[in-house]
Amino acid sequence: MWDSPPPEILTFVLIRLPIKSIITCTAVSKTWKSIIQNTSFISIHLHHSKNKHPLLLFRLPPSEHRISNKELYALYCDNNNNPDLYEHTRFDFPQGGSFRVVGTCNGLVCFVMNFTDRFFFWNPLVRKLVTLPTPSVGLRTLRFYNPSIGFGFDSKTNDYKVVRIVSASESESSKVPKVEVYSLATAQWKVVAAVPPVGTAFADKCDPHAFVNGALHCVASKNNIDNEILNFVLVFDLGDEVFREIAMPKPLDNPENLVGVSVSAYRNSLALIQRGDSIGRVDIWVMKWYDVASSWTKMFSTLADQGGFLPRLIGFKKTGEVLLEMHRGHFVSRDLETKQIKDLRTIEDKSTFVDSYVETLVLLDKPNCADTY
Amino acid sequence: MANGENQNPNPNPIEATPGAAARTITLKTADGEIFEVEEAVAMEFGTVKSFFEDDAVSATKPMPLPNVSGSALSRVITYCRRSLEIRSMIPPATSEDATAAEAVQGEGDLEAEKAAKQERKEFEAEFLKDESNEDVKELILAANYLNIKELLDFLCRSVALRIQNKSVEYARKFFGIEGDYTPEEEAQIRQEYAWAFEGVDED
Repeated sequence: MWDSPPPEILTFVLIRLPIKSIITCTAVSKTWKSIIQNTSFISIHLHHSKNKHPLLLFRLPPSEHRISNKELYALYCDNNNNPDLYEHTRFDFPQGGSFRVVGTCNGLVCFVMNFTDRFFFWNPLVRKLVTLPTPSVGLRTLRFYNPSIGFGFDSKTNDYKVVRIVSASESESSKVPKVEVYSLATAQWKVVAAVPPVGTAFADKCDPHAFVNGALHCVASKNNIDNEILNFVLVFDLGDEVFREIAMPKPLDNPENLVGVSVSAYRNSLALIQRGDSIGRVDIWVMKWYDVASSWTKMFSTLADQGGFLPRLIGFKKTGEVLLEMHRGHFVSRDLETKQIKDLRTIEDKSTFVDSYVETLVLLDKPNCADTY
Repeated sequence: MANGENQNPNPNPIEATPGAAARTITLKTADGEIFEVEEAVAMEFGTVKSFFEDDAVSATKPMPLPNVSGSALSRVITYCRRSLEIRSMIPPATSEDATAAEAVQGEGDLEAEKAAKQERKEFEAEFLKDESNEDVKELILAANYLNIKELLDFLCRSVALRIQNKSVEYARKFFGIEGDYTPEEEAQIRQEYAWAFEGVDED
């Protein structure tokens, strides 16, 4: 009937296959391989994936790791009709050691090995790992300094980027802060001209930057005109590679009040979470309109329970619900707008939530820098 | 529905006005067959819809469909007709004020949606049951040419189900393709992605 299916129809069929089958289809013919291992096919597949049931990525507790000295991760399927998260797949991170997640984006996870400058990109569903080259900006010592690092996607150039901000005091040789960007497309680190505003300091560098609207966001502080320290949200635009600032709501902008504040992506905007055992409360603020500082609104506030347990924020789902451990061992997902609460079961105790996840073929089109394992 | 007249006009789009004959559109296939189709069904075809919207084209002349055979069109019409019936099982969403009545209606809507979903599942399973791979491919080409998103999505999903987890040879046979790798090249791919080839059905 047809000599070979028209390419657009072949694409419609292939994106509806499970990832394993898509990969075996590269063996059908050279044409199929070149269609599949193509950036535009991968984008179409990603777009289609985003409409499926959301997935949640968790790191399983260390007790599970001991067997192979490799970190173990699990993907849970979040079907809104079902309170149980059921386990979809689990996988080993292919390198031994201990790692920190820098960020996840479009199904790609960026890791850094603790106390090192070794970065990796990982797509567990296609079993591809990219080992990044060593950054060019050296640190005086890796034991105590932790540069501020973020990971995101530049939609203008269809490229994945890692941003590394090294302050003057940490830097091995420089007297000024240096900002370096790694691009998957060029497979290289490059120092950029932009630097954070003068005197910027980072409160806690271990929190992943929030990636929203094409930019990375983290909590920072600096001196204002009256020489008072002011907290703000530092923004790095991945497309233009420049810095901006977003003001924090009072009283969070006052560092005396800044106990345990972190920023997170919330729908198409930002959320600020303040949580401190010493203050015994958890507050969540949401910026209702992105980049409109006057739209910060406190959406959730709670105190420690009678047993002294302070609810723990696990993370935000793509659809905006916040995952919380309300009482010891009791997990819920809560919609901040409607205040609807759903019980969640089957989160293994002491699992660490990484992020919302989406199935993707990213890295399949990069045979030169991604290793299969 | 309890409140107000005319809030929900007859939800069955096929009988536009009770008593009056439904308007039909005439289609002519590649092999010369003539089909008179209810307007509502024909408007499911994106190609037909734009044909009649773009020009002040007379609805009396048959619209030619040079890329579709009679047998394929007949199946397509069956699908679209049934699909419209199932969709009309769900009451249209009230867009105006949100009232307490609507909150109650919401529960009924959920039930209707569930029932419609179940009907659709059963209908779709039945529809392709006896179709050969050739027939399915012909339907896909027709749905693509006629620009019927829902049918195309269903057909592609079904093909994906037929070939997933099956061998590479199966996929080649299904689409009628010759593999063009040398044995060494194919072996290299199978080795690189050995994990993906595990557990594949050898038909």
